[in-house]
Amino acid sequence: MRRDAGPLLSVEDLSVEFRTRDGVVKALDRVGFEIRRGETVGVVGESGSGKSVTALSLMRILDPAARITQGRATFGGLDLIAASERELGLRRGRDLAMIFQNPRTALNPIRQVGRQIGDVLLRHAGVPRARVRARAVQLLAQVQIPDPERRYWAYPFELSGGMCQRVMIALALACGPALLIADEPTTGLDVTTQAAIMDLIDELARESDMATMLITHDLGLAAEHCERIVVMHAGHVVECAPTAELFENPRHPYTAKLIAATPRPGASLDELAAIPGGLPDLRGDLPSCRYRARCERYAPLCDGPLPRSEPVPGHLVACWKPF
Amino acid sequence: MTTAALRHARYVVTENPVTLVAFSMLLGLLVLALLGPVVAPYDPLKSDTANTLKPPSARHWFGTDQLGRDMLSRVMVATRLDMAIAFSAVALSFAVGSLAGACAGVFGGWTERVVSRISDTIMAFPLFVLAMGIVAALGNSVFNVILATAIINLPFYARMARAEANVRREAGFVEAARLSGNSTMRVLAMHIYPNCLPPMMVQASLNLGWAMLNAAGLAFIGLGVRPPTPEWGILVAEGASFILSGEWWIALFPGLALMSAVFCFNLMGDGLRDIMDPRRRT
Repeated sequence: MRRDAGPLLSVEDLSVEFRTRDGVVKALDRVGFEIRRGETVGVVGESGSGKSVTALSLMRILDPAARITQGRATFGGLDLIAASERELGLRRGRDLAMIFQNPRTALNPIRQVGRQIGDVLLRHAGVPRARVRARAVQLLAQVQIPDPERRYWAYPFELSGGMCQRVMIALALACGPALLIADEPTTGLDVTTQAAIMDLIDELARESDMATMLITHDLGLAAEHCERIVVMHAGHVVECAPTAELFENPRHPYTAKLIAATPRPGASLDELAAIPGGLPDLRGDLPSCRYRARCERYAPLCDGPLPRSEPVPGHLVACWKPF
Repeated sequence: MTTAALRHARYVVTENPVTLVAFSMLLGLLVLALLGPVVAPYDPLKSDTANTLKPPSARHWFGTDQLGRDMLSRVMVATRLDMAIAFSAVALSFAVGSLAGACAGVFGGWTERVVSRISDTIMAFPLFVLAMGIVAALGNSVFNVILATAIINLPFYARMARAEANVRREAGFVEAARLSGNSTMRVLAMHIYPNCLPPMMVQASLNLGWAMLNAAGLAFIGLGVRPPTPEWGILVAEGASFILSGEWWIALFPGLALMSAVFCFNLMGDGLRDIMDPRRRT
């Protein structure tokens, strides 16, 4: 596997605000992480922690009410924050692809799935018109859709949710992207299908040396498929470490709680610990550590500006009193 | 693909008897429009002073008018003109209205404001009076009747397309299309606009009926098409003065033709939508 010196995607100090009727929501605050070529990185956190907003900011398809206030995001030499809409149009779908939750709504309901794949091939991959169909069928076969010749002509409503997600993956991978952002790709699918879809993404990523950013609230899923995990809480990256290291030695109190709250085989329901409190209101003035109100280790020291320490090389944590 | 679409069209038509009736009637109207002048038994303009105001008979199925012209031939020949006016008016307002509406729905902002205010302004008039005004102002010609009919129907398409496009602007597949590198215009043309078409087909079909009635109405009051050109509205107008004296057939048959054409268009709407929408293919 090729491992270039520099990271493929590097995000530094990315901050995003939403202007709403009742105040400015600071959805992301100085988010930073890196993804290397071919690496699978999990971004985990509870709902509302800013996982999807991070992905949408990187793709630059945020809601018009959102504003990137500071930070840098570099992807393979392209400055994603400063790039023009034209430059982005050329790279999106070709080098940088994304799949969503709810695959059924992410496909055009009145266009055959094969043709939707064909549209991408024509636009980005430079496949000659005469060969588009053959290539699309090949892609459908690659994502293990049975009878791809016939499914080429299927409309999204004729396929199951799992099948639609396979089509979405085929669409995303059509041009061999360097990075795939998978935003909760298995939400809404049954457990068997979930496993099959994740294995498929894993396998295709390995084959083509594609990096994957897997956004999920399922720690178990991230543990199984990711090499590194980024933990987010209320718009902050609180911890970032290789998967095994994170599970063995969680440093941030939130990560420790999150792991304790994840069901394990054999664990009874009573052993699952809920994390007290909820996400803080992200409007108005916020304490420097946004986990403060829920934290059992809080001390006056914590009101200082958020530190970023690296207790073990490659293991970053943003906490005054880490474990 | 084309064969699949045809198979689907056949399926929709045969599965719903109402649609079958509507499309058979449409086929009949189209054949008449195409071949009317050829298959008409008499010359629709040729008067026959020996046979004026004859009631329906074996020789003249729909009777004759005050100049002895064969009413059957006149009604048949008129089909082409009436259909042409209705179809071109609807095509014009559909094209302009749906595009303007879809743009308004997608772009919002001043595009939306301009399109909506123009629609509102047009709808503030009594529509038939507005059409009369347009024809009177622009000149008494068939083209102006088409134009006037298109203008008064414009707001319905614009408003509907705006609403449909607005709902779909945020849809997952639109976002996905943008993410795969499509420009806004491409997303609009390839993903949003086509998805707005099925519900608009019902509107278009109903509108064909209105357009036809509108054109006939204008002709009835002497605007647009002029005698002796056979046109259903004029034929009814000419016949109207004879109803009191007992010659009911002159007004009745063109009226019936007009009514059945409008009826056919009204029935056709649902079927047309089902054909346009692949999701009905179950």
